[in-house]
Amino acid sequence: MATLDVPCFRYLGKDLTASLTVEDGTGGEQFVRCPVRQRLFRLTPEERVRQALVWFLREGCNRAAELRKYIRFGVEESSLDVAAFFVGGRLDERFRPRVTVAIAETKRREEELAHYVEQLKTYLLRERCRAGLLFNGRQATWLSLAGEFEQPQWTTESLTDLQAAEERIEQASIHADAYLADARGVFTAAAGGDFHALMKLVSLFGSDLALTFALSIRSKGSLGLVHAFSLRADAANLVTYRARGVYSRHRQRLSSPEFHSLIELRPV
Amino acid sequence: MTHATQATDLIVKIDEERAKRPDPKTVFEQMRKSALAGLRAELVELSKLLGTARHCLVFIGKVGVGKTTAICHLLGLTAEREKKKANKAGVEGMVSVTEDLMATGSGFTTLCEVVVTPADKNEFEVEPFPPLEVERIIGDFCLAIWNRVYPNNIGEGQRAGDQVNFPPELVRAVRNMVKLPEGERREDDAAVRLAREFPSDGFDQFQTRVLGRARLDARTRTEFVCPSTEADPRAWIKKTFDDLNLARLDTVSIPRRITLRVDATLLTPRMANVAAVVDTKGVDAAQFNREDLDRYIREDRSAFCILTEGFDTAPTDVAPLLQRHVTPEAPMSLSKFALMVIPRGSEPEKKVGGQGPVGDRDVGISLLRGQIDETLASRGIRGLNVMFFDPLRYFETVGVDYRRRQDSEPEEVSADRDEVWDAIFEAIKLRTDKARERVKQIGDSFQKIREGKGLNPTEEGLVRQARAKITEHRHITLANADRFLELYRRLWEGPGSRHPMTLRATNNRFGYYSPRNIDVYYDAIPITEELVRTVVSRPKEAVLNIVRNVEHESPPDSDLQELLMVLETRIDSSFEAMVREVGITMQTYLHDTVLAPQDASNQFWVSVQGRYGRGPGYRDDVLTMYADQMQGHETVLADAAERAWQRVVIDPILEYLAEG
Repeated sequence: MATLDVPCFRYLGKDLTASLTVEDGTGGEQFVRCPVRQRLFRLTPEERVRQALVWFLREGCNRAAELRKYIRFGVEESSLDVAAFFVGGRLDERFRPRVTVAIAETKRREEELAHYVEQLKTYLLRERCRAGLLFNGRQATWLSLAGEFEQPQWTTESLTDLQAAEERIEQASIHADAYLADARGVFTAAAGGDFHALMKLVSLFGSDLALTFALSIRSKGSLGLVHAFSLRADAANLVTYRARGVYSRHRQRLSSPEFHSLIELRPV
Repeated sequence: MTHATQATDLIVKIDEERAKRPDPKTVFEQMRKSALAGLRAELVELSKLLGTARHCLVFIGKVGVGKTTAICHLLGLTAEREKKKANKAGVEGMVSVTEDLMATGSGFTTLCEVVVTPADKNEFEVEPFPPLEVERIIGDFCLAIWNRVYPNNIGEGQRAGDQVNFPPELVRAVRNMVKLPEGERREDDAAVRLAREFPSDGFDQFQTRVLGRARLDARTRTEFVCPSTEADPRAWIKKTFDDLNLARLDTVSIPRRITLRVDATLLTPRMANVAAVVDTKGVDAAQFNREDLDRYIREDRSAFCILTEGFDTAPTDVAPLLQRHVTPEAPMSLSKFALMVIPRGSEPEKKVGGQGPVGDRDVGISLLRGQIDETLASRGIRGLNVMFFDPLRYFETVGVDYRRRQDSEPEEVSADRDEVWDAIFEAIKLRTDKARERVKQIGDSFQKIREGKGLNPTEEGLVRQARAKITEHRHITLANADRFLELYRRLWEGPGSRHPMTLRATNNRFGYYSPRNIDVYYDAIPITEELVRTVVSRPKEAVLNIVRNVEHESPPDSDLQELLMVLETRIDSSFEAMVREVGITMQTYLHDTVLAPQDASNQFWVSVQGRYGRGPGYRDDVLTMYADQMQGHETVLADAAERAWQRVVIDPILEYLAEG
């Protein structure tokens, strides 16, 4: 096991170097230990940049400790190179929607970032995330999305220092915290039986197929538990959904009188 | 004059006739113009069929039914050898054996489709899987091994005990490529032993090591020519085929298709009349609706399809395939097929008749032949060529090889093979005869139409009435469109469905899993065709009845008789074209709209891929996600069917019957 110093752009006006833990393979190749995935990965040119950025976000930047309170960094989750997911105090076992704070798309050092802006845009739209970073170890580009996701307004900005990325990610996490504070309030209302609160939550998180809404539903005079996913607010007083582990040709329907309470909202 | 030339000459005559009358002014002239156009289109197809000098024999059947063995024996791709074998007492001695030159076994033996063509030398040509797919296949193999070694310390998204399912013949090939043999006992498995050399967090190291062992960059060779100095070309063919089929050569990747060109002198002389013999990849889990098979059946005019099935099941396995492709609207479709039943051992003698087992081979075969005819007739298929061929009838097994039984003669072996060859060529001849007969009918029809005098006002009135009635059938309701999803789901769940692990592999490849010939977009075609055919055949029959009524009402010597008979044929062929078009529309809809784009920017694909390893109910959840993604498909299907019905069937009929 050895340490490899990898040039990692600039930070606070100085050249930055990331320290990666590497191991030699038997065929002459090197492997890097990913601190997120807890496994060794072949140190390809792409992995080198990715791990350098992960090191920066988790250890190298001044606000790393602060960021960790709110953010969990995922690597290669949902086909995303690096993604920051909100894990702050708003979340608990009953209310744990997945909110992507920022997405970083990393490329090998010699790649031109401008060629990958569209790719990052598709990921941001897919994840309904407003902050993105393109990074190749020698350049960094920030991409932000304003307005509605259906009609996004994009801003692309070249960064000269990773401090700007650090600040923006922290800012995005503050926005996520505020967003989840509102959502948490809505969840509490839905847990108390407020159907309109449920509909609001459905509009926010219903399309995330990895989430399960545990619903208490009135049926034939008694209460039953349904693990629903892929929820949609289809009409003013109607939610449609699919039940986990149960196949039916048509979507299930839930109206206000049938709704009793939302028990939990969390990943499958 | 050849049959093809007759058809071509007729086309020229029709063209001349059409050129004489470019602008129809009356109902009769319009009908004549349309009829000639229809006859010409049919002739073009027939001339291509009749122009096929030598056919390609395509063997289609389930895994393990014995296609490859039958092919080897029919073609003469066998060799007599002296081999050292131990007898029951364990004493070794030299034994004469017969061996197949193409690898045979009890199923899952042939790695890929193999095409055998007669040539002037012996050579192999390999079309390999793309390098990325080979890497994925090796990656899947690594994952399966890793899960066995570290069931509690597995990668993200995996579950303890999960096994990656891919064809056993591919596993063999991968093991040989990376030189990690399985061994006789579990503890002898070299792949497992290698995996154990790595720590539990070292999957990537293990995979990198295994990929390194495959030396993919060096696997670029695609051609192998038998040296002219080779003393025993049969031995060279066998060894080279085994090497390719088992991926034992360091210079070759995993083949997707192998073409074997064989010196014609090594093959049966019958092969002089055959362009090629195709040993298609065995059908797994009753999934006969495969793009590669459909291509031979529908698009390749030179292909003659030999469906193979075991004696015990015939015709259960192949009947659905026949039902899909042999339709009343495509009169030449049945002649495209023959059924080869492959008995094993004394199955025919054991066939149970009214008094118990019949005890006689010919009686057993005759009994089954009758049952096959009855079964197929009950499904609307009459007159299929059925042949019986047990390539090992006169042989006994000797280890993995076999030898001719002492109570049999080489002439008996040859007679059996000759009988099958005769049956194949007879079936092909029947197809050609049928096409020739049709050319003749078209010639007669053309003659009558050309000599037609015209319609009187009463006849014209009948045509006008028919036109008005047909217009009323312009709209159709595809009432069974809501069954699409149910049938689509049945491919993955229920009897005869695909292995659940192939769902994961298919999702990881955005809907395609070529080692298993799975294509979730192509799946839409057979389902759509079945639904559309069922519903739309009724309005089609109604339209045909209108046309037939006019025929009945018009005088026997009326020109209408011939013109309307041509129209009937056109209605059938356009109906068939319409059915197929809607199938392709749904395939395109799934590919270009519902499940597009086929990359990580698509939330759907990321979700179905991410669902794996996250608790029970994987298949249900994923299929539900498909159902959700496909929401609204019923409307698309119903609309597509109606549009195609109007454009491909109704509008041309109305034009046929127009005023000119």
